[in-house]
Amino acid sequence: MAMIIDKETLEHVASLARLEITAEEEGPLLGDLERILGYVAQLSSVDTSAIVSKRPAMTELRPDEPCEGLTREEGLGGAPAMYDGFVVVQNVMGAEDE
Amino acid sequence: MSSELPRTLEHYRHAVRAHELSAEEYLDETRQLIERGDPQVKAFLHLRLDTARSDAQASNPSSPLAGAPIAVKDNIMMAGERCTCGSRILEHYVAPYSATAVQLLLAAGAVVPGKTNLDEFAMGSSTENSAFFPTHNPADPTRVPGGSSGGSTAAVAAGFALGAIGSDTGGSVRQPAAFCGVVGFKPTYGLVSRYGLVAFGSSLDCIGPIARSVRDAAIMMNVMAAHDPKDATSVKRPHVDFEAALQPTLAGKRVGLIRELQGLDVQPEIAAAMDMARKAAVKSGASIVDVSVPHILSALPVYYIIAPAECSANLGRFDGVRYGLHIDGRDMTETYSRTRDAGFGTEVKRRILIGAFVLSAGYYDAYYRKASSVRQLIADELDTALQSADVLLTPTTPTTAFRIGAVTDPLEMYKADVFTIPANLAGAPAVSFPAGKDAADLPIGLQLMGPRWSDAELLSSANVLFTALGGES
Repeated sequence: MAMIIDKETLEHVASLARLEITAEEEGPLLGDLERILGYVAQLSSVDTSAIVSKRPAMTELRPDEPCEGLTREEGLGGAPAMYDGFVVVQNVMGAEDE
Repeated sequence: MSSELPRTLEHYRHAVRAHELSAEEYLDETRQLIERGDPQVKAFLHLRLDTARSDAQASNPSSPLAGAPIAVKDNIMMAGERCTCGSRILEHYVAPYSATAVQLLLAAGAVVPGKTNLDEFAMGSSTENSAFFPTHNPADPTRVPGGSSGGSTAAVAAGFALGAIGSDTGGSVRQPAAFCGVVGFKPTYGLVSRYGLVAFGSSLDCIGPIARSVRDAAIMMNVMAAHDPKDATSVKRPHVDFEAALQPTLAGKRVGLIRELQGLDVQPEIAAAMDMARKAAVKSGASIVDVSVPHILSALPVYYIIAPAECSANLGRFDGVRYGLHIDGRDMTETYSRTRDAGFGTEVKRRILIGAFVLSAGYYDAYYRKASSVRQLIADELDTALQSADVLLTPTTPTTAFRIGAVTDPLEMYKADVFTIPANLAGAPAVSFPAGKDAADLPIGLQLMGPRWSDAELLSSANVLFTALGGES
């Protein structure tokens, strides 16, 4: 049976998810994901062509109006690095080797 | 002394109002139970007993919760307290505000003795996925308490709190409630605000009460069920008094048994408990009806596509920049991935990867879109079944609590959720209540599920069966 997920796909998905996969993790993860994805793939045999839902929408949205919330300090308080009321990040525009 | 202490929130409240007991006396007794028992049970990630005691002293005996200790799962925020989600990535994170559910409990006179352990980001069915330590089942410390709200259910079962709150995305309140021998209720999606709950699967997540009796869960729902403009999915509904809605019998009720679940392999004592519940329902005036939910067994694979997809999106916010852990890399991309690699445990990574896979180009239609369609199909079938039955009776879990370390295969672990997941997919309310013990003296839980917004009627039916099977009214 064809594999659903191979090493290359796992590496691609991991890069999309911004996760590092170590060499020791890769083998067991590939095995687990293959079995889980193989299990959930059974849904392909369910006929969903005739679904006509009469269910109401699950949510009611409020008007998008500004209201009182956290202060700037409270909102930023969990950030690992802050400067002058801003979150600090590394240079994202410059050359790679600066 | 502790044997004379009130066992339930209902009796506690009565004793405090009658001045037979003060909130601080009760908290002192609770502290002793925690100090004696929690080194073994390990229900709490952080305790705040001194603050809780001052809060108890200041509490109003005539307030709805009268200074009762209510534990809070550590993925629900409480201002000024750490909120770790059981994860290294938030190990030192301090919540800047309180969840609406916590605010409502505090305003009603509850005090919070501590924040409880959980599977990391609520992903798991045993509380073994906590990055810090596993919680042990008070009924047998060699066994898991279930999960992911295992710290909350263990705390209530062990007498460390009169009630607790947890979050339920696929059964995370009900399954550990069953394993620990307490009541766990997942309300209708939209009834209890999730503002301040760290998001896992946003179309599934609900906050619900954990208690020693169904009546106690109703008392907590009276406090927690309120429209909240800060949660876009919170729905405005007419006020319901959940406690006053508890009826003494099941007269005229139709209790449905789902045909497609009958062949499933469940532990013999759980099958026997189902039989006893069926007989108790009939004795109390209910009729038993056979209903069909043809695709209910597809609920598990649907969930393990939808929930990881939503988790991979929700956990994108943990990037080493805005919250918690930060590990420096050469550039932003490497900082993200090094932080996330160090901060997330194996199960969380597994689910993020599954989620990223089923949402990625080329796989989206076959997995995510298909699962969304089957989810709709199951929800529609449940609606139809709930036209010919008022409630659906199932076991909460296929087995009682398993031993710590016994289930190592993630797919086997997922299968513990087979009975609880359908209610999350449909946004329907469901409650697990204790229904006796198995041969090893481990608690058995049964589940009732009802139509959306039938929460009060559902709790009423559960209360009748719970008391008929030996629970405290």
